[in-house]
Amino acid sequence: MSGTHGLGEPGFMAGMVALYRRELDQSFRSPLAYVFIAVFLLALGTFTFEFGRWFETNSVDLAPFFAFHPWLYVVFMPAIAMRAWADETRSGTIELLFSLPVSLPAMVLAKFLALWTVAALALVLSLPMWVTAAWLGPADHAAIALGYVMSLMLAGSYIAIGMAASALTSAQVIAFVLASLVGFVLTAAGLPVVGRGIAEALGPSASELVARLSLLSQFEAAQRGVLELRAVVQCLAVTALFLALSGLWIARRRGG
Amino acid sequence: MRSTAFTWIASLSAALAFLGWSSVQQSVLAPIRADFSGGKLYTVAPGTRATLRAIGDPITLELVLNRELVQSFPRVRAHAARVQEVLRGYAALAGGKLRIEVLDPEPFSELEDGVQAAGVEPVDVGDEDPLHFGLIGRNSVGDELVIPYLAPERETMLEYDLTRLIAELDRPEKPELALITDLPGLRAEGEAASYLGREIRRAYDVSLVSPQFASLPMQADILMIAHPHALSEHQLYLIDQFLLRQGRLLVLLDPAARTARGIGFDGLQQARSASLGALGRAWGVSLGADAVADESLGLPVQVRDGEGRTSVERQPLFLAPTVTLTDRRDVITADLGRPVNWGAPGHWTIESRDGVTATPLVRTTTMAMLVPAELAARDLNPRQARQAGRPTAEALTLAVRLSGRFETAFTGAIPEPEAGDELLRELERLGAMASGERLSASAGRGELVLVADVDLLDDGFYVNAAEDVTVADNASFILNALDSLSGSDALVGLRSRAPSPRPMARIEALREAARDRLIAEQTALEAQLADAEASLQALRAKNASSSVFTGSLTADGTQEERAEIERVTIEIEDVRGRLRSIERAFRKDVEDVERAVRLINIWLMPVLVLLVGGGVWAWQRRPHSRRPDTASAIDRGGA
Repeated sequence: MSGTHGLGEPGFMAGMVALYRRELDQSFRSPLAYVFIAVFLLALGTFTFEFGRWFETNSVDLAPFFAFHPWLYVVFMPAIAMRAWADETRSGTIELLFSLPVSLPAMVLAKFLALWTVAALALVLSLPMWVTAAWLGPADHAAIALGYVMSLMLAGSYIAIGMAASALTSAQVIAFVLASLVGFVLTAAGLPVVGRGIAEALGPSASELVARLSLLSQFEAAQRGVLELRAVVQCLAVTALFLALSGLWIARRRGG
Repeated sequence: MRSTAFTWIASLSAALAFLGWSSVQQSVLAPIRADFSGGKLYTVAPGTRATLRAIGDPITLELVLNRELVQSFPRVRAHAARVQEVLRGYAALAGGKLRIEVLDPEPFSELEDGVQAAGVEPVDVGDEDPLHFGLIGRNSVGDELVIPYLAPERETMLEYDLTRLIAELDRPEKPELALITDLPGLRAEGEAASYLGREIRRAYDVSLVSPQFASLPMQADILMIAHPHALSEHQLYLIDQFLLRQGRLLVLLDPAARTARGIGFDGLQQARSASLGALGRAWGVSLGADAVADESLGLPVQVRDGEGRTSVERQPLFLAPTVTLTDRRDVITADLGRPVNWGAPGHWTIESRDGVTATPLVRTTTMAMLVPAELAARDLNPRQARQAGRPTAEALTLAVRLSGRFETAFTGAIPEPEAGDELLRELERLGAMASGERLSASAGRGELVLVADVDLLDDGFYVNAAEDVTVADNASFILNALDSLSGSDALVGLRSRAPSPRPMARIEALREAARDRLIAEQTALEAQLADAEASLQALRAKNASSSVFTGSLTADGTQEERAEIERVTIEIEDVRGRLRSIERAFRKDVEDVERAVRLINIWLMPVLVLLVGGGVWAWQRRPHSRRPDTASAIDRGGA
C-alpha cells in the first residue's frame, strides 16, 4: 500500500487518503453509483418542475428547487451509504480491511468522504438549474450559492446516518430502512404532529429545541440567503455524532 | 476487543453530548451570521440602531405567545422564534433601556384577560383555545402601544413595526399634520380609511382641514395637500404663507385622478386636480395638462378580449418605474426596494428659481407618451392607451423635491376670503392677524415635495387586501416623504426591507416581443375581419331589399352577387383562422423555452450519467479488463 513510512503505522492522513481513493474507485466501478446519481437528478428535476411548479412561480428564486433536497436525501443518501459497511461484512473483505495499518477513525472518515464526494458530484451535476435561473432572470447568486453549500452540509448528515445504520446491521435492506426512518424523523422534527406531542409530554421548551434540531429548519435560513454559523455547526454535529456511532458499532463487530 | 457494554455506554454518551451541545449552541452561536438576503432581512438597520441608542426613559416590551399551542403551526412558530431573536438583539443594542418579557397566558387565566384587554388579538386557529401572538409596549409614563398580532406575512416589515413602536413610545407626541384633501380614503378614519390613511394617522396627529377653510393651523409641522377642492385665492395665499413660515409641504396633484372620479355628468371633471395657480408660478413648477404613459414601465393587467379569453398585457398608463429611475441619494427614494405603482400620473415642468434647488425624485424612461387627461381618466385598455399616446422622447418627472428659500406668490394686497358670513370673515381676519405678520420670503429653509399622481394613494394600486400586505412601495414612498419633511430621517430607511422581486425576465421579454411582433398583424387582421363582415352585411341587405323574398340568399341575386357573398364568407373564415393561429403564436415562444428548460434540467444530466455508467460497465466486462490492482484482486478472491 502506498503511503507507509516503512515499519509501523502510516500517518493518519496518508492512510485515510489511500483508503479514500480506494473507496471512490470502488464506487465508480459499480453501475450502482451512476444509477443512483441519475435517478437522484431525475427526481430532483421532476419534483422542481412538476410539484414545485417552478415556471408558475414566475420567479427565478430557486426555493422550489432546494425545498426538495432534504426529502430526497432521506431516501437517497441511505441508498448509497447502506453498502458502506454491510457490503464489506458480507463479502468478507472487512477482516482484510481491519488488518490494514489504518486507524479506525481514518477508515470511517475515508468512507464518509468518498460517499460525500459522490453526493457532491450529484449536486454539481444539478448546476444547470443555476445556469437556467441566471439565464431566465436576475437570480440571487449569493442565495443560490448558499443553498448549495447548506445542501452539501445536509447531505453529509444523512450519509453519516446511513453509515451508522450500515455499521449496526449487515443486512443492507434493514440498514436502508433504519437510516431512512431516522433521517425522516430528524427532518420532520419540525412538523406540527411531532412538535405538539413533545410539547404536551415534555413541555414547550423541549418542543422548541427539537424543532430547532430539525435538519429542515437548518436549511430554512439558508434558503432566504442567510448563512448562519449555528446551522452549519448543527449539521456538522449531526454528522459527527453518527460517524462516531458508526465507528463505535463497527468496532464492536470487529471485536465480536 | 470492545465489550458490548462499553459500546452502548459510549453511544449513549455521544448522543447526550450531542443533545447538550445542540441546545446550547443554538443560542450561543445565534448572532453569528452572514446576511446575503435581498433586503438584508437579518441585519439591523442604522435607523434602528439610532432609535435604540436614543431611548430616553426605559421601555418594556412584552411578547405574548402561547408557546405550546404555537408548536402546531410551523410558520407562526418559526416567526415567533425570529421575533424573539430580534427582540434580544434590540435589547442588546439598547443597553438596558429596553426590557423584553415573554408572557405565556394560560387559557381562562387573569393574564389572558389582561393581555386581551390591552389589545392582543386572540386568533381562532381551530383549536379549543385561541392563539395569542402579539406585542405590548409600555413606557415609563404609562403609555401602552400594542401590535395585536405579529403576522408571519409581515415579516419584512417586522423591523419597521418594532422600531416604530419603540420610537412612538419614546416620543409620545406625534408631529402635527394638516391635511387638505378631497379623497375619501384619506379623509376617513378607522375601517373606512385607506391603508395610507391609517398609516398616516398612526404616525401623525392629523388635523383635517375643511374644503372651505379660511385659516390654516399654522402651528402644524407639515401641510399635506392631496387632490384638493378648487382653491380660492385666499386659500392659496394661506398655503403660500404656511410654506414660508413652517417650510414643510407635500403636494399631490393629478390631471387624471381615476380613483377620484365622481359619478354623474361632471364625474370626469373631478378627476382633474385643482390648479396651484399663482403658487406654481412662484415656485417655478407647473403640472402638465396630459397624463403620462410609458410602455416599458407598464404594469401587467388582465385584458378580456371580446371572445371571452383573457390575456395579460402591460398597461402603459399604470407605471412602475424601476429603482434606477429614482434618485438614489435622496432619503425619500434611496431605500425603496420595490417600485411604486403610479396610475395615469401627470408630470412636472420645473423652471429654476434663485435660492431653490430642484431634485427630481422619480422619472420615466424616454419612451414616455402623453395621453390626453380626459381619455386617461376613463377605463382604457392597453391598446387604446397606446393609440391615444403621443411620444415625447424625453424622460418626464413624476415627483420632485424643491428646497431652499422661497419667495411669496402674493406681492400685492392680501386676497379676500370667499364671500360668506360677514362675522365669520371678520373673525378669520383677526385670526390671521394673530398668527403673525405676512412673510414675503421663507423664514428658514423650506422643503417642498411635489408628486404628480393621486391614484397611487389608492389601495387598489398597491395593497393585497386579503393578506393586508403591500405589494409595492406606494405607502412607503409617501410616508418616507412625510418622515423626511418632519425631520425623522432615522425611520425613513426602515420601511422597505422587502427583497426585490426576481421575475423570469427572459420569459416576460419573450411574451412582450411576441406581442409587439404580432399585435400589428392582429390589429390588421381584425380590421380586415371587421370590413369583411360589414361588406357581408351590406350584400345581404342589398339582396334583401331588391327582391320580394328575404332571408334566403342563394335563391336571390345575380350569379355575381352570389359569388361575391361566397368569396367574402370564405375570406372571413380564413381571417378567423389566422387570428387563432396568432393567438397560439403568442404563447409558442414561451412554450418552446419552457420545454427546452425542462429537457435540459430533468433529462440531460441523468441520461449523460447513465451513458457514462453504461460505458464503464461495458469496459469492465471486456475480456482482459482485469487490472493488476490489490482492490479488485481482493474482490475476486472474496466474491
